[in-house]
Amino acid sequence: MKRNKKTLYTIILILVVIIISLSIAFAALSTTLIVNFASVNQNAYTWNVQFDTGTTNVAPTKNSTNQSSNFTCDNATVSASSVTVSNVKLSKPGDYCIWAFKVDNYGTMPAKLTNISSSKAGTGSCTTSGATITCGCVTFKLAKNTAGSTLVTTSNTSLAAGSSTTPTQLQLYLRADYTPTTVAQVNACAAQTNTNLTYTLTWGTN
Amino acid sequence: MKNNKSLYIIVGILIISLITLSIAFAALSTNLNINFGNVNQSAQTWNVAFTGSSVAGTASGSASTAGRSCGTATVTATQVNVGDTQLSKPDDKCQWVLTVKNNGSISAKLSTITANKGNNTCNIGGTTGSQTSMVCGNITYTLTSDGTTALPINTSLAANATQTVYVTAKYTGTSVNTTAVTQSGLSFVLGYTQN
Repeated sequence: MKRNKKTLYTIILILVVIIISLSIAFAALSTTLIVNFASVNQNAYTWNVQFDTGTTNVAPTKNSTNQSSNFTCDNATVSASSVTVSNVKLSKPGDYCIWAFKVDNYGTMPAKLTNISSSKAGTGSCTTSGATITCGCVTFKLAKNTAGSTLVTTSNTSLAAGSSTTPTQLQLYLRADYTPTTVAQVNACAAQTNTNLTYTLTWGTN
Repeated sequence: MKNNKSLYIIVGILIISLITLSIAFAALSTNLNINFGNVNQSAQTWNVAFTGSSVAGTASGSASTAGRSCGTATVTATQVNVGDTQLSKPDDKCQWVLTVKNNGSISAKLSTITANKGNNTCNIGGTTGSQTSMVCGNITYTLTSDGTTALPINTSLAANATQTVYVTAKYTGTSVNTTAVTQSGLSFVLGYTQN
């Protein structure tokens, strides 16, 4: 009796094992490959690009000869985000005004000019192209030198990283010129008033 | 006695189950013979693995390299460990180009891609079983086949064939952190199976 029972138990066990083996015999071959990242660190940075406000009322350099009532170059009012010149009147060859101002980088990231655009939203007839605005016989230029020959562009205008206490600085010049040089050109200039001329400088990470 | 009877019943059931698993259902009253000539089993191998021992990361992005460095990826047959990496400002990017090879004789396929975010707060992209991207704050991690196209699953990897896997970590945020941030414990798991 006991031997028969043992034999039976053995048979059952064998059958169970066979069934289980058959059930799992068809599992697919497989391999697991893993891509681990140790650590990805993001350093702390600050971003702060603005106009220098050391002097908020900037007097222009202007042609000092033959000034008359037809010549006006107001001071520029400077804030962290804007430089505003209220009135400019140039009427004869040689008339010009130059306002000097700076851009500060108080952030810890280097910055570059990613876009410069100019526009005229008010009255008058002007053409705009990047750093140059031409309104009749007066041309405005945003430049990196007083002569206005090195215009501000996205490829030549950047600022190294600064700090919250000591910014890096970039000197810029806004120059307005009465452009006609001959009598014929002067006589062809019609009087006009242009308003709401704007330069927009967009800064991004370098 | 009664126990023996139970045991016999169990044995009978098990035998029936075994037969059911093993052979087709035979005809009711006719004997059909299926004869085999030779049944041959060729010798086959299964071996899908990363190749190489290390891969340098390629950095790109903004002109300034400040706060950007790409760790070296250490490669073993089944695991790639990407070393410490720094990405700190918009557009900073590191990329590692890995190679998976089917060194065996059995065709394989990439069946599943699983993204593990560890303890980080991430949005996992893709679909279940094909999670090819993770967006974790300012950093996006991706697996692609060419740097751009999400790594596809269910494509065949024949014997001796290779599959290129681009692993990319990129600073996709639009602002910078005012305090340092560290992400760790992230991984992608690639499941290759028989094709």
